[in-house]
Amino acid sequence: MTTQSIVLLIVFLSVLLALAWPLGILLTRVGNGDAGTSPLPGFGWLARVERLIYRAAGIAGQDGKVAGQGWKSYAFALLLFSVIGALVTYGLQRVQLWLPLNPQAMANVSPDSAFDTAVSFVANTNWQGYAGEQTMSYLTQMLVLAGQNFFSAATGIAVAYALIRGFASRSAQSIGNFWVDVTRSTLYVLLPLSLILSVFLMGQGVIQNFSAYQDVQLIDPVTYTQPKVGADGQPLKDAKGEPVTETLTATTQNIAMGPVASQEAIKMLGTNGGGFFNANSAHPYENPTALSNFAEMLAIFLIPAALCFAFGRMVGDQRQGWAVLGAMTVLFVICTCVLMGAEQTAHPGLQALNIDQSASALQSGGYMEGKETRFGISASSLFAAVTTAASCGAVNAMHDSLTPVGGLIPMLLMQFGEVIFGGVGTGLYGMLVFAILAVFIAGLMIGRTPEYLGKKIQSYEMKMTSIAILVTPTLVLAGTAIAVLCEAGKAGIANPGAHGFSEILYAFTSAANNNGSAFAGLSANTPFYNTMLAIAMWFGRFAMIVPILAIAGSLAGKQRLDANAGTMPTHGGMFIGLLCGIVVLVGVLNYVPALALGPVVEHLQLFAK
Amino acid sequence: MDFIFLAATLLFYAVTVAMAAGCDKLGGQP
Repeated sequence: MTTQSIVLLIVFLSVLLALAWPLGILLTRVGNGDAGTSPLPGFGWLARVERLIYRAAGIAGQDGKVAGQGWKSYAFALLLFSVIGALVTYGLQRVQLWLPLNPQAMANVSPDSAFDTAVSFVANTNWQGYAGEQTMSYLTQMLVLAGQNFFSAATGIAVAYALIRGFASRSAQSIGNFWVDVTRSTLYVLLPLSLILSVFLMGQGVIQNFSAYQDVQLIDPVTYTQPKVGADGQPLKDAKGEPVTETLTATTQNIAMGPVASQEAIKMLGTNGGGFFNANSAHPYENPTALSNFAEMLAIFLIPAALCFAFGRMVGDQRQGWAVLGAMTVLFVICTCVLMGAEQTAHPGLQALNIDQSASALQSGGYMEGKETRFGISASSLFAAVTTAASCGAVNAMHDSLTPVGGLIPMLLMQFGEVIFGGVGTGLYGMLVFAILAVFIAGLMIGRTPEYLGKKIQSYEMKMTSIAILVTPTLVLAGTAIAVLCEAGKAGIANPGAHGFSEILYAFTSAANNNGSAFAGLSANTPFYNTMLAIAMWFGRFAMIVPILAIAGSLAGKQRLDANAGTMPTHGGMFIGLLCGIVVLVGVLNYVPALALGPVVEHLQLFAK
Repeated sequence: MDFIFLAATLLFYAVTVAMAAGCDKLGGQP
C-alpha cells in the first residue's frame, strides 16, 4: 500500500463518520416520528405532502391516522409493492419505442432482458445485462429505473426500521406501517440527499440533458481490436476456444447524452449501482473527477453508516450502534487493505517484460488494466471495496481486470452477506441477524439463554435466522453449479479455465447478494442468465426479508428484560470481535471450496512456470 | 413471450407470500 492509499482510506472514513452522525439523527426522527409529522423544523410543507399521499392512497383512516401492521401484514404489503414495481418496470421497457423522451428511437427491450432488469431494479441489485446508452430510452431510465432506485432503497430502510422496532418495543403487536416507512424514507431522506448530490455532481461535470446523442470528429483516428460477435450476439471463438477478434479504425465518435446526474445520485445513495452508461462510474459523464469519485464513494456508505447510529438511538443505547458500526469498519478496513495491496503489487506477467510498475510522481504504479488513469490504484481499489462491501455494485474500474487476489476480495465482501456496511437498510438488518447468531453461540458457550438488547433469543428466532443466513449461499452455489454444468451457462464465458469459473461465481454471488457488479467478461444477456440471475436476485432479496420481518414480529411481542450481572454485554470490544468472527466464519465455511476453484487457482497460476 | 415472464414474476411473488405464511406456521409470538 502506498501512503496515498492509507491517507485516502483514513480521510474517507473520517469524513464518512462526520456526515453519518447527523444523518443518523434524521433517520431516527424519520423512523420514530408519527405519520404525517415532519422530522425537521421548516419542513411542514413536506409533511402536508406526506399526509396527502396517505389520503390519496387510502392508507389513512377518517381521522387521518395510520394504523400499525403486524409482521405478516407488513411483509405482504412489501411484497405487493415490489411485485407491482416489477410489473410496471417490465411493461414500460416493452413499450418504450412508442413513448416520448426517446430521441435515439431505442427499440423495445427483449422480454427476457426486460424481466431480468425489472427484477434486478426492484431487488436493489441493478444487475445490468444491457448497455444503458444502447438500450434504454430517457423515459425508461428516469421513470422506472430511477424510480425503482428510490423505492427499493426505501424498502430496505423500512425493513431495518421494522427490525429495530422489534428490539425496541415491549410486548407490541405492530412493527410499524410499511407504507409510512417507505413514504417517509423517500420524502425526508432519499429525495433531499439525492437533490443535493445531483447538483454537486453537475458542478463536477456530470451531464443532465435530454439531447440526442452527439457525433464528434476525433482529433486522431483510433485503431482498436474488439471481440467478434455472432448473429446471436455471443462472442465467436476459434478452434482452441479463444475469442475471435477484429481490428477496426474509428474517425468519429458518437457521444451519448441524457439525464445522468439525477440518476447518478440515487444510484449511489440508494446503494443501487445501476449505471446510466455501460461503463458505469468509470464513464467521465457519470464520474468526471477525483472529487466526484470521493463524493460517490461517500454516498454509497452514508446511509448504511448513519443507520447504525439510528439503530443505537432507537433502541435507547447508542453504544449498540457504535458496536455494529465498529464490527463493519474492522472488516472493511482489513479487506480494503488487502485489495489495495494486491492491486499496487507489480504483476508477475508484466514484470517479466521489464515494465515499470512502481508508483512515482508520473504514474500510480501497480496493475492498471481496466482502471482509469484519473483515479489510479488507490481510488479504484477503494471504490471496488466500497461498492462490494455495500450492496451497491457501481464500478469505476473493471472488476474482471483486477488481480486474482484483488478480485477475490470484492467477491468475499459480497459473500459475507453484504453486511459490511451493506446496502441501504439491508446492511444493518443483515448484521443484526449475525448479531443474533453471535449471542446464540455465546449463550451456548456459557450455558445461558441468549439475549440481545433485552430480548430472549429462542428457537423461533434461530429458525428464522438460519433461513435468512442460508438463503444466499444456497442460491449462489446452486446457481453456479447449474451454470457450469449447462452449455448455455458455459457459452457466456470469455476466459476459459479458472477465471471463467470466477466469472460465473461472481455473477451469482453478485445477484443473490443484490450487489449488481460483475466480472463483465461474462456475456450474461442471454435467456439462460437473465432467468437464472433473476431467480437469484428475487429470492436473495425477499426470501431473506420475510424471515427477518418474522424475527421483528416475534421480538416485538416479547418483554424487554433489564440487563443484569449475567447478561453478556453487546457493546464492547469482545462482542465486536465475536461478531466479526461469526461473519467471517459463516462466509468462509460456505464459500472457500468455490473460491479455491476460481481466484485461488488463478493466483497460483500467476507464478506457474 | 411476455406472458411467460409476467407469469414468472407473479410466481416469484406467490412463492415469497407462501414463504411468509410458512414462517408464520413455524411458530413465534402471536
